[in-house]
Amino acid sequence: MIRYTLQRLLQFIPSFIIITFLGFLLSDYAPVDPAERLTARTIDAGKPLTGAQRDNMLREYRHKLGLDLPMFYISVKSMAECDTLERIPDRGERDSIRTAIIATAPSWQNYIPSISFHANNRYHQWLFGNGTTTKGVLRGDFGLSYATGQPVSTIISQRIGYTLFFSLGSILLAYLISIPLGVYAAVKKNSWFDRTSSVVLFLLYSMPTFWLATLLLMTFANPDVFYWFEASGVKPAQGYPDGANIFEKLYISLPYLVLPMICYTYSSLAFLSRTLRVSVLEQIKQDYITTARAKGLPNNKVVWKHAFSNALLPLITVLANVFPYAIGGSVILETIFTIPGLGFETYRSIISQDYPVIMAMVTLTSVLTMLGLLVQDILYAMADPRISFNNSKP
Amino acid sequence: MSAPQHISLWRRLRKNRPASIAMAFLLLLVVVALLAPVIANQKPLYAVYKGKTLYPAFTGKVKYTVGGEDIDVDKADWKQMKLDAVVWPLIPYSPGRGDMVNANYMPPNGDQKFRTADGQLIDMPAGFRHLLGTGVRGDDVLSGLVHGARVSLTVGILSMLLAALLGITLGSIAGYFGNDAIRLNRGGLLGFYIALTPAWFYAFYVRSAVLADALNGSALLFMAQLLLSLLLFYFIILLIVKLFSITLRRLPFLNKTATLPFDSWLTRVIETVISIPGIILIIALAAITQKLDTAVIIVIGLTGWTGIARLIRAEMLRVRELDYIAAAKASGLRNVAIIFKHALPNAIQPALISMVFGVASAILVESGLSFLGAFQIDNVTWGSMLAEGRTNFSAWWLVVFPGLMIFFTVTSLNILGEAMRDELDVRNN
Repeated sequence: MIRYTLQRLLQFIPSFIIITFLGFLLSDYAPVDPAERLTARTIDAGKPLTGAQRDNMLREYRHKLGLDLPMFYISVKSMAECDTLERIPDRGERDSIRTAIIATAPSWQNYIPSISFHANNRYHQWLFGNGTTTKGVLRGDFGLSYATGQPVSTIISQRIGYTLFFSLGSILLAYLISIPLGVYAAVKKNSWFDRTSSVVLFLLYSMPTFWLATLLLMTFANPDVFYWFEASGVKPAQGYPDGANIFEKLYISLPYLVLPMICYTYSSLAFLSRTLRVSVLEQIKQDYITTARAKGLPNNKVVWKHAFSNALLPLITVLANVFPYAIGGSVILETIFTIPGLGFETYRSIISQDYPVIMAMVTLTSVLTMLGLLVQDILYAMADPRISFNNSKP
Repeated sequence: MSAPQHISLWRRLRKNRPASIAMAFLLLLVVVALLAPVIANQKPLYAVYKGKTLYPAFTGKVKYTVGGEDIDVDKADWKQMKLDAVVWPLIPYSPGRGDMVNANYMPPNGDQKFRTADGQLIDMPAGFRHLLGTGVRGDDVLSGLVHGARVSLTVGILSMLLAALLGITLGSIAGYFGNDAIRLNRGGLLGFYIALTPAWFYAFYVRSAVLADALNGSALLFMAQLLLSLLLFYFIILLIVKLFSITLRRLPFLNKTATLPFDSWLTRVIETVISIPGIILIIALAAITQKLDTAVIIVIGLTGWTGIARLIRAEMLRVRELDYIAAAKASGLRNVAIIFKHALPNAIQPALISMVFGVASAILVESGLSFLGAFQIDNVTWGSMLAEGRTNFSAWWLVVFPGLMIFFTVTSLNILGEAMRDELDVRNN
């Protein structure tokens, strides 16, 4: 198993490079040039600049951010193009020079590929740091946010708590409710309870999260109807009283937490109960259950010890998906409820084109997804010995 | 199994009550989406103005000239014109166009007014009522729902078409050939690795301006250009591989047989694609192009094919061992013909289920993100209407009706998908 894990971890490396490279491509096509943006901020801060000063400052920022370097180790361009354009500070000038070069070169050169290699490039600096100011992603330094100037790793550590609280809390709740629900529905197949819960769970399963959230807010956080819960944020504006312990804090925050928690939980709850019901039903049909009953085991034991423990796979699937979906899956909900977690931060960073933060989120999500898949495969093999590592098929 | 499988599946679905209701609803939705400009339009279907017969809703024309007077077809307020005869669409309002006298969230059962051609303000005539209320500028909700169906279905269907195209092609190649059936000599293999760079250069880099233009145009245009690029990529590789294998086969070392382990490659690619954070990519792409629906179609189309590819691959592994495929091979049919004409029809059904669910999730993603409302959206969508409702909860009709449309559509697709799954399971057992 250790060999298998190591092998899988090694296989992550190309995937990681491809995905982060995609993120880089996106930032390259962004409409706003980060260096120009930082320069504009300095000008707004009250320092009028002459043209030359502005150019200098642009050049400085571009150097600091590594924007004067090529993007990746390898670049494929046409023969007509020049690969040192990044050194020109002004974006408009850069674009017009590129157009001019392409226009003046013989046109056949546009159709001949030329490959060049760059030992020092932006991707390299992003991974390993530039040796002076940054340490690189591999050492946990995601750079500084363009918007606030804070280190991205600080932003992540400040916000990850909320996201983890909701995703882990909701998974716990979903387990607690769905396991008895799904197993009971399977045992009492076709009973009144089974049929109603099936319909209700199916409808819940198809319910759009953002619609349910809006309906709940409209009904239970609306001064005109029921004002039982708070509509946004996670804690009162004045903060917690001094010296409050975690339970007091939770209690004070309760009106803020109930509605988001419902929205986080219901869909995995519905998924889990439905799949658990099906897989327990499948197990109950098997011969070994008949044997267990025939040898006189109490019904409870047959169901829980035998049928249930063999129907664990959907529980694992959901668990393995917690971390990958923690960021992407919470974008909409955290934005609706203004929860200051990673999803909301992702959304904010994309809208304000805060690329160091976006890159951090892309990296984090993809790494977590890959780890989640690995953990899922390992847990599958542990839960079901028939699944082996060697001939595991996707 | 006397009847072809897809016909028997269709018959079984027809007999399944929830599935047939779901299919009827989806069919209705498709019809409404296709006919949206005729069903809900502020332009009359037929009008006689100053003795001249006009068909404003159907005309591609921008301007009419009637008796020396210029009428801008889209901007004219047809309800304020003295028309001699007129036939209005079922819903005489266009989405997103204000109605001054019923602005500021008019409830469905509210005291709606109507300004006649004479300028008088009268109670709303029955045919002109905003049946599901209005938004802040007096824009008709029902009309928005009708046109929103267009956006949602386009996004759902186009993204899954792209995904299906990629998934079915890659999955069937991987499943049919496996790791050792694509044979060529070592010279050809060398050519393959060398070909990757020029193929990428000619198919994507040289065409990048064309692709970028298409992306700013429409999703369909981009898909067409992307397909062209992919085909170009394939043919350049094919060409270089052939060239290498023919010229180098005389050399002693390079004429040995080699295989392209396509199946393992696909597995690796799928693992990578699954780890791509789709939602972040969609928002980022939408922020750059300012076109949410295009971004959803492209990102889901380019990342959502993995499930389909896996299912097709698994089915292909089963089908390729069947006797009739061996017979087809023995009779000298080409592999392409065997895959697409003979093997695929027997392998496609599980992928169809995945596509149905895929359409539902694409619709959910589009409406969810347009609900967040950070992008300029040209069209009124179900999500954007819901977003308007979120800013004013007393306008419950803006929250309830668009939400119900999303809910019904997604539920119908889920019912259909589950019914297909159940029916296919029956066959397998």
